[in-house]
Amino acid sequence: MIAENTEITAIKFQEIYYTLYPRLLSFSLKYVKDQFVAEEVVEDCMLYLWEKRKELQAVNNLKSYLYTMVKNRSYAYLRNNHKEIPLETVNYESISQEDQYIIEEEAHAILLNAVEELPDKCKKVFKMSCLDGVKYKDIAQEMDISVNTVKSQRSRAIELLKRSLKDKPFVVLYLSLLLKM
Amino acid sequence: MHSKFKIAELISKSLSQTITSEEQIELNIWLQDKEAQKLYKEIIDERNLNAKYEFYKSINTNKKYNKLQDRIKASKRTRRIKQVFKYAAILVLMVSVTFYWQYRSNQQDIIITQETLKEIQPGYSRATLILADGTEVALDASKNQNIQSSGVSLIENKDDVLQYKSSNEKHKALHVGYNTLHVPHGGIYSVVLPDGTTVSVNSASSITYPEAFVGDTREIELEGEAYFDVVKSNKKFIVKTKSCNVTVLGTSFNVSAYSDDDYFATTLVEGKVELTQGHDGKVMLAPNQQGYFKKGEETIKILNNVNVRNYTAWKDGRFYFEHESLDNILKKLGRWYGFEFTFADENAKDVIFTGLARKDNKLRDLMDMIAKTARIDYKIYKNENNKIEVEISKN
Repeated sequence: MIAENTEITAIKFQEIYYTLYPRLLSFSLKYVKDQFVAEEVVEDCMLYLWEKRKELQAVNNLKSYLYTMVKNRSYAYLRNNHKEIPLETVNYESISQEDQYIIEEEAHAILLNAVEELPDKCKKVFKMSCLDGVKYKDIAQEMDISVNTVKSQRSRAIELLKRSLKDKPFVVLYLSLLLKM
Repeated sequence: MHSKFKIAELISKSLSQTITSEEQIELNIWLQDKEAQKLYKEIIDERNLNAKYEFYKSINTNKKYNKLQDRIKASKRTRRIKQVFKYAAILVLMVSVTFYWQYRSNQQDIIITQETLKEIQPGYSRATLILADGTEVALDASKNQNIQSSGVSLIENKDDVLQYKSSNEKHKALHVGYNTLHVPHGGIYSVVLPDGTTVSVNSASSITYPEAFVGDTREIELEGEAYFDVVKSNKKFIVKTKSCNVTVLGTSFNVSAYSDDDYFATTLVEGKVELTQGHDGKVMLAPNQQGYFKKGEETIKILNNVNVRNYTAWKDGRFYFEHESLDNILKKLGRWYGFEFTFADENAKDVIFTGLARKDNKLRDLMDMIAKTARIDYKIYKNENNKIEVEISKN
């Protein structure tokens, strides 16, 4: 993450929240297996971030820090409620369970957030073609457009994604989405 | 070695087909690992991707954000109280965990003033039997002996259990003497009464009972704490204490009636008991209920769904505290390790703990753990009366 670590202002907090809330929720859910509990865990972490924002602005990878906090609090919930706690598998797997969860969550979140920003037609074509593996011909038929339009929309989508996925600090990534809301 | 965030970024680019050839090489290097391949396949699986897409779409981030804002806006006071609760919860959790793992910390930073005391050892099986004629017999698990009483019973002491063998029937009605089993601070003992009922007697407790149950009821007196496993019989079994009486036919229950506690409590494991207090206070208890009588109050309270294990753990070599104040915990520890205690900081009295600990720990191990968790200091020394004293002060 390249985001410069200046003050966590209300605006910046809001950006962080909107960007990271869904993926942190999904991440916590992998441990606690209960959406209501996961929501509480993430909310508590975000509240903590807000209340300790002065101290936490020095943290150089806030995203990583938040993932760790969500994991710890998810474990705390499991422990507190005598639920089974998954064992860390660092020793015999090359990628720890936690890292696997984070990689999956991040890859999905970055991609899907970027896809969300695409214009509607573009988005639909891209989703069907690249994510669902539907053939051009079938997309054209379903959307009632020509195969050439499908192809051009697809290229446009990829072009737009290239721009939005280009090493942007994550807080900026979501600005355009914020403006839409 | 790539950071997980970099890898995730590369995967998302590869998925959207926006990855450059240099980046693809980087990703391929990472993908040489079998585990990584497996993970990659899962991530790009379209079912997983679509499920995640639907999941993200189902989240109303806006609503959740507003909810959080409401929480932030809530008055500072409420927030503070909440935080106290939160930290209390974390504290409780820490204690549970540390207690459980038998946490042992180094002892360097403990302040010890006055006379440095050696390890305070835990209690062990020992008691004094006082016979009807006033003779005192010291009991412990190491000596097996038969005790000749002036009365009618044959009393056998074997492996920390005192057992009354069936008495000579002929003498029954003549004269029945009363015996007292006194368990000191730092002791614990069990007795099998003439009717076969087993009583485990906790530290700093005494029970008094006849050498044979000859009347219409079986009556015994208790001061302190004991666990009863009463053998069924037509004769009622009555435990008398200073504040309440417990009447049963046959059942298992715990009675705590220390005179230096401000309450009486009996907890029922199975069967049915009747609890009476004064002239007209009377309640029936079912299993997992506790009758609780606070001295000075009028009525006996009934607590439902109590964790019976908490109240009987003491006889199985465990301390089990559930939402208990440091004051109460030290009282219990003091009875087992044989110490008195004072609070230099009164606030520390009300720190609440939950946890499980073995009773064969050394006192210092337990105190270190409590001190660390509750952020207090403690000193152990011999006081002017030559008694071991633990003083609790602010950290």
